[in-house]
Amino acid sequence: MMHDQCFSFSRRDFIKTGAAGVAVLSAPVTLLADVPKPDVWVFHGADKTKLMKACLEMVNANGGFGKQTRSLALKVNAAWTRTPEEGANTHPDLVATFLKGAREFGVTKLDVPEHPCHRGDESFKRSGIRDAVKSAGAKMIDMKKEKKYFSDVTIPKGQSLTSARVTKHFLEADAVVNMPVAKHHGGATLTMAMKNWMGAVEDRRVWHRSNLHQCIADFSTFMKPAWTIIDATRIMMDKGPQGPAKTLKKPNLLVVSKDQVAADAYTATLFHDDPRKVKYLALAAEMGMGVIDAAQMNIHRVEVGV
Amino acid sequence: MVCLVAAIFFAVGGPIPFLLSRIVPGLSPLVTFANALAGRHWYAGLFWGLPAIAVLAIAAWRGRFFCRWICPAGTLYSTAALCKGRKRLVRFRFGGIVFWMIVAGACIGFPLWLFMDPLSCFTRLVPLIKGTCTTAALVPGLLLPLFLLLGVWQPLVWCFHFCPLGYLFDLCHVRAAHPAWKQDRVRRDFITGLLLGAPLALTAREWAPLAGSEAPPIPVLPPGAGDPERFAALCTRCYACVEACPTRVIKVRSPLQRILGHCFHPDLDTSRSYCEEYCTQCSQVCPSGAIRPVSEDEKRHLQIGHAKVRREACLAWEDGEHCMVCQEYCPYAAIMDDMAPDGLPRPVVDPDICRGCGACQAECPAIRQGKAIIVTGLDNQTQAIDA
Repeated sequence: MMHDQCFSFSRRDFIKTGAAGVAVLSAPVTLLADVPKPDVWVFHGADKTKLMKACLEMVNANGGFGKQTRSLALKVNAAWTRTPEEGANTHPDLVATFLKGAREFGVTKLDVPEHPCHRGDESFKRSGIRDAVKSAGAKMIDMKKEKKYFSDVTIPKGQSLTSARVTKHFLEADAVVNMPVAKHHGGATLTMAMKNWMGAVEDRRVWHRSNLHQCIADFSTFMKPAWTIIDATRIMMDKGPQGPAKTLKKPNLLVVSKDQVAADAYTATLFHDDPRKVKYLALAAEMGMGVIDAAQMNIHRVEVGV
Repeated sequence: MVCLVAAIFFAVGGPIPFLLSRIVPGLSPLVTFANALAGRHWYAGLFWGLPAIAVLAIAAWRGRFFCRWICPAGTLYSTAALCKGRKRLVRFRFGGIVFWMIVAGACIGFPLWLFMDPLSCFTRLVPLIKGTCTTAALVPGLLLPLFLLLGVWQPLVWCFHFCPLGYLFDLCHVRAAHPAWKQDRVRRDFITGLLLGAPLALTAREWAPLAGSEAPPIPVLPPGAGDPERFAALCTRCYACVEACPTRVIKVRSPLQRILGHCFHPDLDTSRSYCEEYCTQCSQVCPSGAIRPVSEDEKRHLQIGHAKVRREACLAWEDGEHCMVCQEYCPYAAIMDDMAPDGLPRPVVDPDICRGCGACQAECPAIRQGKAIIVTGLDNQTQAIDA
């Protein structure tokens, strides 16, 4: 069962909200149209299987993956030859539960393409994701080997990144879901949902040469998943993206939204007090891709008991 | 013949099994025992020496039975012999001299002529055929095809005039009607081989025609190779490691090494690929002990090279980009942040933690002035510390 936690309003909150409302009303009309208040669900619980089951129930209650969805492409993070405990990849239990659950939505074709950083044979195995995908009867595709599946796209709203070669499955599937892991990142400050799309393109190096943060924001104007499910069950606070981290926190959270910018912005607050410290999030807000202030999101906190 | 059939079977049918690339060169008693002598290690003889001892026992009983029925090179040469050539291109039998030169070299720790071992000559062809070697590997790799061609005119010219292994079998053939070791020829071979072998091996070990500023940097060697001299001495150039390496980082690149005796050995080309954290395959397939067997944990701590940032080429240091791909890919967290005043991270290598695996160099996205982080080899492979 879902419980949307009711927030009790104090007078101070009321005044704040009113002030924000006035500010929004006074803003240009176009901005209002671009930025509806996004819903973000935050599931808390130690059992990863139950977390994902609760998440799927919520997804079901909020439109599922859309009508007539027969094929689904899932973007996980299985880039590194690291064990699930080290927190460098999406947790395999989440992946397995999600894929099994998606079958019950009537999805018949489940693909998990990944362009790993390490050799796929090793990283898919050690991360446990290959077995998780197999157990759900889905198909894992190693894009390091299957280069034929990359196809050219243009990114009309891109400023630094105007074209890329993208994994075909993400372009052709009826629904796309992004399921990254949240962690520290040496180059991009943090990596969550938007940064995870780097594992869907062929040439990542060009991003690093031409303003990485702008490229990450640019690509997210193009790639819009039906749902973004961020694995924050354990998060590397440093030495990311590969680790092993000196500090590994265990918030036991799953951050879910239809809006990837909002999901990233909320998750960023687990690391820093201000999402603006992540430059690509600040850029996304500037470009009008979404809101990054938690105050402007509908946050639903869900406690998932063990 | 047995090996050749097996090799063709697997070459046609799919990937060559992991152990075949080891077993074939490892069958040679010459390689096994010369290296045990040269490397002063006897562990290789315990298990991997068993097939070699069996081969010697066969030789004592049946002489060159191995050459005819097992040796893949011998089978190929026999095929060429079907042409029934009758020329006598080579009259002198060099095999004995080569054999004793190997023995002399092994005694002083540098068995120079081991690359003449026919089984290594054969396996050397595998990377050539599969195209995983650069042109440098053609030179040693063409030894077998060359003699195959000569064998058309003079049947089995390699086997009876050059092969040191075949000579060893003749020596061991105690049940022969006229045992080889009773003949004067053997005494002459023994003296010539020792007299020539020791100085030649010493020269190859010490002479550095490319010293000074022209000298190429010390190559990055596979984990377990120890120091460059030890590796160059024990490596028979069978290229089993080149074949086994899953990331194809081990290559035969430049024939030019600083020292003459180091030529044509495989090394790590970290500009395109790198040595994986949890992989020890090369050390498992090496039949000669040149790459000593290392455990996964030992390998993870083995320092095989040093990475160095070239700041003038670096996207972060020079161009102010948020890059840090080197740090991202470093499995050992050996690359530290140097924060610029505006909060831009720039890479700095901690030399005590760096293993020299080459992940940073392989993945470095800088192109304007080439790779901005370069790995070079070490005088000796030592244990690194954890981050």
